[in-house]
Amino acid sequence: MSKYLIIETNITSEPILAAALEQVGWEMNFAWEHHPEGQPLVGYEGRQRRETAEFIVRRRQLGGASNDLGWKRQPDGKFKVVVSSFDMGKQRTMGIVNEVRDAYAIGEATQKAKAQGYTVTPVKNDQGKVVQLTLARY
Amino acid sequence: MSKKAPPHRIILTLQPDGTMKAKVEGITGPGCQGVTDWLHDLGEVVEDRKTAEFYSMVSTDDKAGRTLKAGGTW
Repeated sequence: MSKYLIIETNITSEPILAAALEQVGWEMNFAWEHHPEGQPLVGYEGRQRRETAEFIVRRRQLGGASNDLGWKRQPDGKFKVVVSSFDMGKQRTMGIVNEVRDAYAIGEATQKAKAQGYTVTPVKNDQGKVVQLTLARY
Repeated sequence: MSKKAPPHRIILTLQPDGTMKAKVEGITGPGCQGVTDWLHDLGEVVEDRKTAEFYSMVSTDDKAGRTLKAGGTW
């Protein structure tokens, strides 16, 4: 090995984000919504909040006294997670945020590697989660 | 990526903080530079480190006159 990089993945692709939500939603048992024009998030008390998002996991999917969780596209094209500070302490909510982030990173890397002509071999951990990709070009 | 890139592997590992660590194997020297360009499309590269092998040089100054290559087999 002669070089290594550390990369912070940006969420920019709607189809890959949707695929990540689909995968994680299946694994963690939650439904999600896609609103191309964005829709307001709803707070734990049932009132609409000022914040909007294109991809939303509704509060009822997250457990008692949760607020909606969203992914909103920013002017620079990147999606940012919209999560209340209260929910940042919740294991399920942050578990979803982190698993979607990871699934997106793997999905985007897989897609781009294949486009570059690599053979992609995923490596899973004991929990069945893909945590490594071996990209080979012969 | 250049069509002339020699056979190589890239190991992409998901880190606990969500970053991806990419290790290039099978290419020494500046030749690996081009094969990692596309990785920059994945996000922000927060660390880009060249290992000793990156700077490997072919040397002929050994007493037996053999050609030595860092990281290679003697």
